[in-house]
Amino acid sequence: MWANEGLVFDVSAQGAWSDNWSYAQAPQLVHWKGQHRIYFTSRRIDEDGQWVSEPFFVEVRTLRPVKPGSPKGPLLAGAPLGAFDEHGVFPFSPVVVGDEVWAFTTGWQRRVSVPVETAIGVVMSRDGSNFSRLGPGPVLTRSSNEPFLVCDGFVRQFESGFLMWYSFGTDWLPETPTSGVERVYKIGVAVSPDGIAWTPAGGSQILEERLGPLECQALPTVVNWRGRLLMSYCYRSAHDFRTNPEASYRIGFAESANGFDWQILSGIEWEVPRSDFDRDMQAYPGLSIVDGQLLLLYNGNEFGRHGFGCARWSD
Amino acid sequence: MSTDSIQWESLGLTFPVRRYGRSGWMTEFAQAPSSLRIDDCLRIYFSTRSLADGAGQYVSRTAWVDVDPRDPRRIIKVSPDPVLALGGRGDFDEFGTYPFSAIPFRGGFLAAYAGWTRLASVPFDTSIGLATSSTGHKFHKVGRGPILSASLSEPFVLSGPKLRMFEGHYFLFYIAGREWIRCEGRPEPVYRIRLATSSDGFQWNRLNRDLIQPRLGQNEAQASPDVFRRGDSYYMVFSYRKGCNFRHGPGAYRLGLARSRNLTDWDRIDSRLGFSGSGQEWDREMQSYAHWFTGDDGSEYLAYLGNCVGKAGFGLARMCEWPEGL
Repeated sequence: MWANEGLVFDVSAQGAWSDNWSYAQAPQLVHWKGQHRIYFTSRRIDEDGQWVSEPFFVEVRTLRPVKPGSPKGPLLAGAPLGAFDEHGVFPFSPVVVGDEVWAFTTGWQRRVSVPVETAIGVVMSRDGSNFSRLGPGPVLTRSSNEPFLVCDGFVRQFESGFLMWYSFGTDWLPETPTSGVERVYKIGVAVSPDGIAWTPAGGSQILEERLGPLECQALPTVVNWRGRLLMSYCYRSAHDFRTNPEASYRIGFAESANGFDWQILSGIEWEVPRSDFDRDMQAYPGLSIVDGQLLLLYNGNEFGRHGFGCARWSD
Repeated sequence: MSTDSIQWESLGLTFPVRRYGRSGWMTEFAQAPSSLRIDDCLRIYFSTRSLADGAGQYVSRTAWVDVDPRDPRRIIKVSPDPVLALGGRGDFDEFGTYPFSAIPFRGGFLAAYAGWTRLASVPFDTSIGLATSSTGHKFHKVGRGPILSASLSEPFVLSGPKLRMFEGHYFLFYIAGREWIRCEGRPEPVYRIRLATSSDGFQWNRLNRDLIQPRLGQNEAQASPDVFRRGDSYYMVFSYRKGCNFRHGPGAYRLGLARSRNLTDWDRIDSRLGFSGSGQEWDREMQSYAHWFTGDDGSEYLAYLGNCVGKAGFGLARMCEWPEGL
């Protein structure tokens, strides 16, 4: 079962950095060259008064409790005009590949008839601090059976190649008297021989819904846990999820033997108990294993506006 | 004109679209003509528009005109409706379907088309979708999303699709954007001609390199790769323009020519095309989006666009002579 350890990275306690940046979203832990780092994205306001997300990391000095250092970044240069990630990157999902650190980015681009479009890109780094794009375009975007909103790519390398778990849009719901257009998206899995050329899920969702057909599923992260693959993700209703705690993001778990066929896990032991920072919302979870035990980094109220926290598993 | 180049006879603006306008959705423009033989019919698909909206933006829809195969100047029938529905909210083809190219396929027809969407930072983006039809009158999308969209080296503006079948294999010539540049502050796209191939018409593999070397520098934009086979070789008539200052004057669209033995390696031989317009007003400023086809009497034609990239309609030129050794 999970023990909530509260907010571990507080956006407002970062000195001058906090003047320009807020939010610390989709935290993901990487262990590389003897160091632990937590990568995440934060937001600034651009010249048009709109949010733009950019990637950062913190070094983690101790893990019991989790004590992050000060934020380093942004880690990626801006995108060219008209590119899929010209209006920001969120999430930023790091993965060690050989002796490099890659990251799978979700690029944001503002649209006209719908608010936004997203696609997944890949960036690479030799030092884990300076990342560059492999090319100006994405590695996974809309396709025949995944018409829009491809996002939240999380990649791991296996003996036979690479797997990516990600989300893809299935619907844009029309405006109602109480809301603008809202999106619906599901989690799928894609395969690649090299981490760069990807074959999409083709519209197949891999997780059954808990909330019905309009459930939105996001931010899958996966670890190898006791001989199975264990996934954390978040899910919410398509409507009224920004301020109504009944409808807002919650964290779910699922397990699989092969990465393709998943069973969602229900059961009180999988619920993450609430504390102050996540009273109304638990979102954007990043699962990792530290000292042989599960560690969950995630965002609380207001989609992680104030930072990120963690929960730790004990049997 | 050099005697080394093809000789053409201009037939003028043979499809003045305004004369045939339909219920507002076909008011101006007849762009990217592409033909299909359906029984006795010579059908030319084209993309057309209603008037611009308050913000000066258009929605393109695809239509067709049947012309006399013995004399393609003669208009027989114009489609009563668009051949393809627009996409829904958020879809890749919500704001237009243009250009459009169809080939015979498994007893019916397969088409590739570019779908248009609108962005906040630059005016538009495009990706390529597939559609099928049993009759060639109306087409239906294959899947809700595009078959060819942005990739690592093709970041946006995937458009200009032209489908071909040669030697039992399918070829999709198209354009891919390289960069949005600023021309006196206004964003304009730069795009180049590329190729994808398929054995079944649905799974496509990109060659991932430009086919045609630029002549106007790194901001040359190339469009409408129209490929036909003649003798032992393949030929491509295409359009090219400068990156900026291309709506009028010397940077505007012109027609180019290239030749290949294998469809992947092309020699650019623009001077041998031998065609730079009719000399009339309607195509005085530019010529673009040429499409090669044959008539029933064995004549060879180009259907092509004049000023403002086909705002008034499309015209024809008939080939008089093909030079030896071309």
